[in-house]
Amino acid sequence: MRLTKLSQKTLLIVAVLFAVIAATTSLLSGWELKRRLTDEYRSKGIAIAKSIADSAVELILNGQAESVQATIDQFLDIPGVSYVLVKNGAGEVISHTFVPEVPAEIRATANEPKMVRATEIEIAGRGRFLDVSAPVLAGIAGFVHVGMDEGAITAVIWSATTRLQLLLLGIFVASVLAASVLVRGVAEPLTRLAGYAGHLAETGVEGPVVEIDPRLLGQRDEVGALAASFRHMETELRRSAAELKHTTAEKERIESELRIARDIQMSMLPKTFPPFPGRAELDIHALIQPAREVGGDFYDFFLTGDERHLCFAVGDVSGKGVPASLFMAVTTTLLRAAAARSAEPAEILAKVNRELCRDNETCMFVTVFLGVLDLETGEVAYCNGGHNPPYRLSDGGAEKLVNPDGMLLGCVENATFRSNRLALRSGETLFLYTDGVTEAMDPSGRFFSDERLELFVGWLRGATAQNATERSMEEVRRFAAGAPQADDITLLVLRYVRV
Amino acid sequence: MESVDYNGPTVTSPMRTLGAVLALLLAAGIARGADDLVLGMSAAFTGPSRELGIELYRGAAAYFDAVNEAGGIGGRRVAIRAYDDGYDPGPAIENTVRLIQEDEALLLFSYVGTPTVTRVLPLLRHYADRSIFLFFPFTGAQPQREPPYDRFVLNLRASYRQESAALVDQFVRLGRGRIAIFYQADAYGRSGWDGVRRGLAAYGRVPVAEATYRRGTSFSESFRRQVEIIRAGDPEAVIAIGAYGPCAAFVRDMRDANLEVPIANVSFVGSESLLELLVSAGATAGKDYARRLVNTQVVPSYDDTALPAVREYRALTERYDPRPPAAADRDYRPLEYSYVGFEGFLDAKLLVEILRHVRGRLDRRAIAELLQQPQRYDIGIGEPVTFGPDRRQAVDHVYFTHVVGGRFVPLEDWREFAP
Repeated sequence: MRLTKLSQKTLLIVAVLFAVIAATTSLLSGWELKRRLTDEYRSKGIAIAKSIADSAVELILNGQAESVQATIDQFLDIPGVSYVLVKNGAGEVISHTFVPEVPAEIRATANEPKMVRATEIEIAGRGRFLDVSAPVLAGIAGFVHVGMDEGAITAVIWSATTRLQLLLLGIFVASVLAASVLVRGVAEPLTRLAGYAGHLAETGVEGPVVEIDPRLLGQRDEVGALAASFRHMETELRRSAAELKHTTAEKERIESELRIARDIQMSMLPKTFPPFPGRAELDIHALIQPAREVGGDFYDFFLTGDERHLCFAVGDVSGKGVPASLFMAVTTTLLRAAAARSAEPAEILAKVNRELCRDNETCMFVTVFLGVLDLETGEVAYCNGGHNPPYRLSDGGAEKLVNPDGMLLGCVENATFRSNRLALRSGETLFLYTDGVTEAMDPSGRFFSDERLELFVGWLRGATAQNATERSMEEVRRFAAGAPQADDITLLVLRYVRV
Repeated sequence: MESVDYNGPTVTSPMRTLGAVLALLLAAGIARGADDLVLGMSAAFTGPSRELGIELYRGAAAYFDAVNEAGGIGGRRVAIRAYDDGYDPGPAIENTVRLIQEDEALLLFSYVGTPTVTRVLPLLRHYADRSIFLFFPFTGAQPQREPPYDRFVLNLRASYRQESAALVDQFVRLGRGRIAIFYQADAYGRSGWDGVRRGLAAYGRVPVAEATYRRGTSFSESFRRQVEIIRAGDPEAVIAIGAYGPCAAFVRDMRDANLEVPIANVSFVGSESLLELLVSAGATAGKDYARRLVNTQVVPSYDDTALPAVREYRALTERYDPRPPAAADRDYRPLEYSYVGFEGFLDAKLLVEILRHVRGRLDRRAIAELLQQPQRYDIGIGEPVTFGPDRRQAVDHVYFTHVVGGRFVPLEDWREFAP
């Protein structure tokens, strides 16, 4: 039988308990037995000695040695009586029971008192005895000696203790059996429960349902309650796992939809570069790096109906995700629609603003920098709706187009916008970006910053549009050094080359 | 314990088988009539002293067979009811009570042993109103020869005191006054010890050494300790009061220890059994253990065919060859003749003589009345036996024997034991 840990512990406790009981009872009973037996032997010896001394007076006086012998021989059958010896009045031994001879220790006894006396004596080779002497006729007719074997006391104690130990051993064995049955009764269901739990852990909640023993569930005790709890736990686990799975699937579905949304969004932005092959005067390139799957940044450019003007814009919708992207889609659509009717940036933005403000319950807004380039003259009319001011890269360096700053779109319906103008000379470049660039963070939390950008774009002078966007994006990435991207990053570079 | 009745003669083979069948039939019914003269016997039929009880029984049975065959006593058959006591006082007492109360024995006959008989005596006193007598116990102890028990017992044999005193007299006369005693640690041994002590006291001497052994010790055990105790006394002779097994072992160990002083045994030892053990042990050891042994007997030698009783004993024993009692060990091989058997024979012969002299209805009271008178009989041992109310022992003679040619024979010339 393989013992469970519980059984082993119980067995150990029972064994220790019994060892303690056995030791203490043996000691106590042995001590008590010795005391009582010593008393009993003493009184027994005295009684026998006196009885012989009284009953054998005549035999002793008459010198009937064999009758005295027959008398004393009877007492040897009494447990504990080891020897009897009778002396006559002259001090001669007339009968005794010693084999092969009277020990010197007994022969030597002389000057005996005239009363019953018990003394402990040691007889070489025979052991310790309680020698009881009783006078016959006050000692005139002789003395009777009765020897009580103290070794017999020890023997009795040993035999009694042995029997006691055997009894205890029997009880011990019975107890162990009973305890093992009881413990098995308790431990076995627990073992089965533990097995169930282990099995559950092995197969997991995804695996086939682990059947719990119905007998365990039927038990009206803690084990039964535990089994019920286990089953409840399994059910809950399975339900949570199913929910988690469902949620995960849902999330994946949404993410996949978001991917589609991004595709749609991206498809809305011009992505073919160069966009106008054959228009050498126009070197334009843009990059967008959304922070999430669907971002709120956008850029756009298109030729107006007269083919002479290029409308370009960079914007940043507040917030991210699907709502921002939708808002962005609306914004770009409105921009294109408005740009088709007017070449005046302020007018376009004002119109778009009005449209966006209408029904904008969620109060989303968008910053937009919009410019219109006259491809023949290089003149750029522009209007900034709350957006980061772009840089003009010329021989003089990088110049921020700070003035004037207009209102962002989507919040104030009657906001007014004012266009500004500048004239690009051939080879000059406009560098448009969103705040995702300046607010890009390195792992220690520092921003890329306007200063760094201004310094950096100064080096982009004379570079092609594509070269400028790619180098800039690379610079931002290097700065971030792997730190997570918090916002969309959008770059649009326009280089005017007079034909 | 098994009850055994002795029922009539068992003739010698080939009629023996038929006799046994008849005996069984008789035991079953006919012979157990109230008319039987039932003699109660408790003796050692098993154990280390069984030879004594069995041979005593066989000797007596031989004579009773003859009496019964001749028509019994006054027409009544003699039957021995024999129980085994194993030479143990306890069973001896139980057997006696049973014999008196249940079996209603006419008398008790040929008990064996001092410790047994000594303890039975108070019972006889208890049953004094039933006039139950013990005839011829096989023991030389004093109690049944002295008040208060002498009036319930009639002895045939001389006492241990007489045997011991006779030995002491002989040894002192030979110049072997330094006498040691080896004896059985019980009433029998004590009786012999007392006899030796008293005998020596007459010469102003005491035993030079004494050693005991426990009753029932077997021949195979060592008696070296006793030998050493005896040797320490530097004795010129040793008197042994014991049973044949231990006494033979003692002789063996004495001789093995190169102590060659004469060793004397008394009648109770069972001379033939003693010799048998010594001869067989001597044959193994290549020694003559039977040398320098003196055994006293209380009956004449069964080789002395000049005596009518010896001739009769031999003739009847040969004719009837009685089987051991049923209570005896099955493996026992009966002796041809023995001092013990002869004593049993003489017990039976004297008892029959006494019973024949009872006048009127033969019962306990009539026997008691007869024993009140001085009696004198001739049982064929060369001298008449006498007893009466003041003399409870029929024979005083002590016979000395020694081993010649593998048997104990009368010792006539003591010169071989001279120093």
